[in-house]
Amino acid sequence: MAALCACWACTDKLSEAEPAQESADQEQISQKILFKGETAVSNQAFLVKFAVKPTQEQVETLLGNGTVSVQPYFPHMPGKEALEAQFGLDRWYEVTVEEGASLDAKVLEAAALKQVSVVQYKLQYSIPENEFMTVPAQEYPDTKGTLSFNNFSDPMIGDQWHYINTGNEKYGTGAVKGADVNVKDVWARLICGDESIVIAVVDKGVKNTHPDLKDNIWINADEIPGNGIDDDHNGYIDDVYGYNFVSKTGFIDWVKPDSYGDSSHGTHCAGTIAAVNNNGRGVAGLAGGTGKKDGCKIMSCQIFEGTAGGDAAKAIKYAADNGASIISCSFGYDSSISSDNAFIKRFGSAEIDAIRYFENTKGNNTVLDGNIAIFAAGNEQHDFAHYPGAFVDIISVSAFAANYMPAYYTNYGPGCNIAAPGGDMKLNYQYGGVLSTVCSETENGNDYGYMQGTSMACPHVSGVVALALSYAKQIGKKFTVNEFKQLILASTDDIDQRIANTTLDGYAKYYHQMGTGAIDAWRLMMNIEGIPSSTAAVGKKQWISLESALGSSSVSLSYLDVVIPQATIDALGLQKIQGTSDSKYPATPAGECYGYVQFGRLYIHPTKVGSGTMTIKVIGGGDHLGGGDNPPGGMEIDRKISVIAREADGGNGTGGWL
Amino acid sequence: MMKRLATFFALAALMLLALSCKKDDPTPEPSTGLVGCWELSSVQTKASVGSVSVSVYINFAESSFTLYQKLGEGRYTKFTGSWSASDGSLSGSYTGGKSWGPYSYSLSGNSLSLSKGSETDVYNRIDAIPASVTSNIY
Repeated sequence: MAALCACWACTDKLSEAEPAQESADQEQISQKILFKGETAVSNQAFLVKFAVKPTQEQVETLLGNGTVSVQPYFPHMPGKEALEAQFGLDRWYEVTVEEGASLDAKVLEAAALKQVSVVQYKLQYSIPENEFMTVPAQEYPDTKGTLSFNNFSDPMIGDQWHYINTGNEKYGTGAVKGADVNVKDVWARLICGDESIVIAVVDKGVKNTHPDLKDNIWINADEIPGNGIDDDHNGYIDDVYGYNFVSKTGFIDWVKPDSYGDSSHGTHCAGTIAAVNNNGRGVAGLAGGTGKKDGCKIMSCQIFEGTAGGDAAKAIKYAADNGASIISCSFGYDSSISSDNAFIKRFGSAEIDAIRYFENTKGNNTVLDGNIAIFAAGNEQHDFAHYPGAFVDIISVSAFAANYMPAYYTNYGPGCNIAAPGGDMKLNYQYGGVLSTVCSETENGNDYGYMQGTSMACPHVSGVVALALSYAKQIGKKFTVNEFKQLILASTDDIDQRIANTTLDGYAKYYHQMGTGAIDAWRLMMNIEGIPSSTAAVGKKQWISLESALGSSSVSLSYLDVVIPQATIDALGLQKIQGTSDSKYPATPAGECYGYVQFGRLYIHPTKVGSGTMTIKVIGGGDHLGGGDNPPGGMEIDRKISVIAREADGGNGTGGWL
Repeated sequence: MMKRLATFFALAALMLLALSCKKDDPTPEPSTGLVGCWELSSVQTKASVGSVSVSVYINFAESSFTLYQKLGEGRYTKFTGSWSASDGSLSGSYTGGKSWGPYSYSLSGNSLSLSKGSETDVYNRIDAIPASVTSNIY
């Protein structure tokens, strides 16, 4: 697949194929052409975007000469005319030239038309490199419903460090407790998924018969399987579980291997997002529900099959038109090339226009005014993300390992927005990767295996976002897409300090280059709820500022009490501490307690990696409460806060033998 | 001291190509005899949660150290830091600040024992850390 990867360039396309022209005209024409002819996947077809929607007659007149056909590129979705027009999808056409004709000449001819704003060579996308070694998982017997870890019965969950990292060195040298997506307490107390949230996996075909996925597979109920009819009139025949954009059929193929022997890439990503939880079998998925068929649903938009590729832009529009709230895209162009952001922002490309259309499609969920696109950053160790994920405003995911450090392969730098577990098999070959579902047909009969890559990091963010949409729906919150993106990127755990402190060689280049930090599911749920989160260090007594919860006057406020639920005491492993007497601050007890407030700071002693909430009771105005026979006083304010306890220091030699 | 070992497989130091240790440290610490290169040869520990092979090499220079370790498969991880020893007690800190030790240590010929609580690691003195280790770091 890597051999088919495509390059991106917006200039220097004409020198070989075009005779001399006026330089200004040449430049103007050249700037309309996206990509290079020598890297195009097709030598018979290219795409054209008109500045204004033409009639079919105009299209034939302008482009018909020497072509076999000129057809609208994106299938039209009834009822979506306005949105298709808003993002120009109705102005894209696919031009197929006659056999033996020069594709470059026709591209130049089209670009010279004043009615045409963009001409785009068709590209083959690639799955990032370094992901083609699947390590079979250690087999565990099905638990047949017996609860095991974290109240989930999935027997392999203990090896999924990327969800719950216990710091076990078997995940890799220097494994850090809590170097994960911090989902444990989200599952335990908040949400495990919602069947109305659909995630489109734009990738290889997802094995919809996999025993640990089949209950969370999206099914197009309006389509009758195998009758050869587009029953739901969405432009696609027999698209029951999604669509195969390679074979252009409704048959999702997860069996045909690529040149590396792999067919599981999409199935692995799907398992991370929504493998069925608590079913006594295999692995857990981030938004896989509770085992009561209440998990988020996976739609397969297949753009890779064997060694062939399909149209990603069409797949993304399909996801938008058929109910997906998230597209999880573990693919991209080769990251050794850059892009003309300004040109694409102004005139578009087929992929970017489709992503904008997806982001702005309403009605696929009740939380947002649109949908969320998430991409992998790429695995080439380059200091920038690859496209299209690197395009501004699209979330692109870099990868970290079980030691909470950047994975050796990850791209970093501009375009990388956030980090997530991608695994690192150099830390530990057997257990250092990400454990998820694979296709037994190409994996020697195994249903589960490890892979590594930003392709594995991407679905972690997709799964956490699916949980977030589920939770927002549950508590009745609504956001715009842009607001939600801000919440996602603001819901992270710091990894820069670990990079700054590490004694390991070669990590300085990653400092401040891994996006906003490591995705933190609990923090995101709290942000959705409007509860501020503070980070505490495990294993020591400490003061935590309440300024984020109560403002800069928190130091001088009068506090009444700290109410800590037992679930939080358990999750954080809070130890009792000795209070001190202070008449001005009633929250300071004289005896033992699990936490108190003094001088606007919360004093606690967590001993476990975990997350929880507590309520700070404070007097709003004055130093006593009003009411009754009391003189005029303040009102009681109950402010809920969240505390996330993490390992204090993962970089200062953690894991060193001495 | 790492706590989680059930079995221990010391890697044989077969490589002859090596980095110099003693030659690079012309002023060895006379009072402790610790300066030089060491290879972990045995581990005694009570805790166990699995089977992990381990390989550790340490180069104690005059006041700094370089440590290479590999747990399980994969490459070596390199750590650096400082150390000090007195009255049979060895301690130090990694470059990032995390402290380690104190260990009680004893030297016997070319053997070094580091003990803490019920755990004892035994190291053998070697001429140099093999290049196959220093060039195979993560």
